[in-house]
Amino acid sequence: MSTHDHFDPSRRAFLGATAGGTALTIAGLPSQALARINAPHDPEKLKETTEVFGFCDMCYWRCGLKIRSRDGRAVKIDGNPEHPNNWGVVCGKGNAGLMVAYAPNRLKHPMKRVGERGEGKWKPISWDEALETTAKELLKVKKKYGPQALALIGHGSWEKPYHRLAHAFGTPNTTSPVFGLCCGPRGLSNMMIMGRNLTGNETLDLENCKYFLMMGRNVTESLHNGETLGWVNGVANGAKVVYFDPRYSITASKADEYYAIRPLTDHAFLLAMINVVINEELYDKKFIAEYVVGFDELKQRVQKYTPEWAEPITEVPAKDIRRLAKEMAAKAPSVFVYSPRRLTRTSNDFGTGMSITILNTLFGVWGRKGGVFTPQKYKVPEIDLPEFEHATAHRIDSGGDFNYEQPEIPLAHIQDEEGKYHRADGAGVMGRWPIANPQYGLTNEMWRAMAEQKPYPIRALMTAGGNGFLNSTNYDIIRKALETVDFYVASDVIPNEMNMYADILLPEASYLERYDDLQVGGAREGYVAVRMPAMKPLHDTRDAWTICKQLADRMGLSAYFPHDSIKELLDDRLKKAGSSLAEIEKVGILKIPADPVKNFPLDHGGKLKIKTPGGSTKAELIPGMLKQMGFDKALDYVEQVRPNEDEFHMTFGRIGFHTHARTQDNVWTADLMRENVLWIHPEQAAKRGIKEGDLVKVSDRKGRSGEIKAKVTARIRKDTIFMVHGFGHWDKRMTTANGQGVADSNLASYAVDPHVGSMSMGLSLVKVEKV
Amino acid sequence: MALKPQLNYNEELETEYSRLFILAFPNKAVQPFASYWLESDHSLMGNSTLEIKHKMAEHGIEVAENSGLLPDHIVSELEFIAYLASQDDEKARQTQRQLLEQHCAHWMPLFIEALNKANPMPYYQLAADFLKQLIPSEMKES
Repeated sequence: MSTHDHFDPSRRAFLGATAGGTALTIAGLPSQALARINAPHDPEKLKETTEVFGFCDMCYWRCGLKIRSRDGRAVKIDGNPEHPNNWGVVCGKGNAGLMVAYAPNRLKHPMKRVGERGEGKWKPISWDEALETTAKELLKVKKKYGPQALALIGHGSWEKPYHRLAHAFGTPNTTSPVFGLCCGPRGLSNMMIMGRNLTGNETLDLENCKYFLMMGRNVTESLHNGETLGWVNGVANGAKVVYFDPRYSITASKADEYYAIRPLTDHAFLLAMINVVINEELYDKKFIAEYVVGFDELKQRVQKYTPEWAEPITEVPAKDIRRLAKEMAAKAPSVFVYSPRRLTRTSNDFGTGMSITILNTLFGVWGRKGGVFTPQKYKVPEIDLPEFEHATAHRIDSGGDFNYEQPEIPLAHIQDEEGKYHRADGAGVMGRWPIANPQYGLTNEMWRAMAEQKPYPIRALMTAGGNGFLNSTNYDIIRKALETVDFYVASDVIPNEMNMYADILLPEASYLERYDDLQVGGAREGYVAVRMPAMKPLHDTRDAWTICKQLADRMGLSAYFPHDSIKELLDDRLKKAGSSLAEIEKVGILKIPADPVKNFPLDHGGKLKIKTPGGSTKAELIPGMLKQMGFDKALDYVEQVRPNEDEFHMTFGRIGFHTHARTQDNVWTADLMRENVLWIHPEQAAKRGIKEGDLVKVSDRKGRSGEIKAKVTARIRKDTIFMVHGFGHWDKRMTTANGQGVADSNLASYAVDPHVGSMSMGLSLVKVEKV
Repeated sequence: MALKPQLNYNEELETEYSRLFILAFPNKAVQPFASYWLESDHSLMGNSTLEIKHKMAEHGIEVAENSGLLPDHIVSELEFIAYLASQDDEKARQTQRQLLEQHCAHWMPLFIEALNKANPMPYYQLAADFLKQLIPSEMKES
């Protein structure tokens, strides 16, 4: 290794003369310029700002951005008024994006582990050494165990090149938490019944809806700008809001009616709604006749689920269930049951999800104004690439969107007839989790496969963003997986508990400092948006595409990264779509205009095109594919766990200014909320001698526990506690987030949905005591 | 006075560098950036960073793009001072004085104090001690 490649703490910092060559005059700078504390602010002397376009990485809604820079530094983030995800609005999280780039704690240099794995002893190395080592170690694993022994877990709007690299490497084992830990059962429900994807950026006609039946969709505090804006406009336009949640959230406070439904019982309520809608003939008869099969069978199946049956289970009065069904029917089709975004709660999330899709279908909301619109797609072809080893692993989406494609159902066993390995997490594999999405996989089951080395050895792990500890729910499995693999390479912008275990740590440039692959979305308008760098990458960081290209080149996989730069790739893709990089850089987003005839075909004499994974051209209320597998039993209600008298249901959720477990160390968002607290009902608090602000211990039946401050409030059911997700970091490198609050992930259940394989996080029962 | 750059690296020194200034675990990193100590929200690339960048530009120099360092990184700033000291003109002397009195004196003592608290191994302890003496002595000289 030459000294040139070596990281050199004291190497010469200067390149030499600036481009101008000669020294600039001192005029124009106040004489006290270097005394930061005395420096006068003189707006007249400020340089001009430049403006670039991007899309946000602070949460998964991915709002369009305009970023202003001055003097080589991004200084202000605004919304792109043309972008349908936010129409110019940026939230607190979005504004705090600048501190992702300027965070003192961000990862700055490639690092190599020198202590024990997870101990946190590192040395800085050059990019060349980091990439050489990574390529060498991955090829070693490939040679010894085969390409399937690599797992890739990605979580960020920049993870796409890593998936491509892993697929090129030859492994089917690429995964993102979006399916198994978040939206899986919901996406699957709409797919199985309607052949539609209804998650990611939801295609709901919020502005024109007249009746929102919201199953814990906390739209004001999850805070996706376009969604919140649309919902607020819908309410302003006179929509009725009926909100269900064990906790009186901000959204509940804006509702016309609020039901503190018993935790985990949404499915029982929804089945009773279906029962009333069918028996009282409140459904859209024309729509059912033309577009739906399985109605009679469904009618038979739901007869036992009367409102009177549901009342003691859900604590929602039977007479209200009947009334709500009638009210909704009167406003249909400008109505919908608003699904929770994350549907990984009960022991039958799939059934819950399907009952939501069924109700929406009975009300005939598809393709109708005020219901679910049909999105348009801006067609931007992918680049031409050689075939991947695993066809099912080929990720077809763009920019990380949740675009659900029909799963191919492979054979049983771990290998197919050609000797190609099936996914280790069992997603899309007969006999394991056949209906789980094989492109996103089951991240929870991938961790388990690594920890247990079953059904076959996974010996190398690559992560692109994410935090296994705080987004999954079993520390033992995550830790064991991280300790078991032969080689672990992590790339991220920030340090966290998971990448602490890496052998090689690759620092990513933040989303303000780079190009990324295109954002291709489907709203009323079809659109494609670009992410441009607002400044050069700080420190010694690089963007995902460059890192993956440089790894591909070192592993003989250059054919999968045929361009010399990400800009070339973008230009290539855009030219195939009849535009160019230069053109999109001027406006940030290219759009096909909204078209009511296409968005709302049934309001304009058009037809709805349906194709379900089972091959039906009509909506399948009882999907035939599920019946073949015996999975249609998910339609039936399953009894849920109940707390003992001294226990609580453990619930968690979002707040408007934090996302997942990735913003708690951002000093700007932390300024709004530094730690989470435990919501507990005043009666239960009094019983335990707990007062507001007291430190309490929360422990589950498995003996896991955490200490957190109490928020004593009547805004929650007596049998339920709540905490905001994403806190409880213990990585000392996160100097702001470290030790603040408790991680819900260490208290939530790690049971799995028996049909989907996604997690059933809400099954956990906990005790609370004063410390 | 100039330190002779040490060219023989060993893993122990590099690990210690990482522990002190980059990943810091299990301690808090001793952030080697002026901006961290001078900006109210500890942000990097603050106005103080730009002021240094501009000062460098006035003297016709900039931080090398491939160095991975910001203009207000301790390494960049010390090298800037060394550069100015090597120039034989009044303007360089003036900038050097400004830099030391109005900038370095505001943050380097905080940085040195934090470095001392992190219990650095002798190499970095000596560097801290040297730095502590350097500021007042250079201020006198310049």
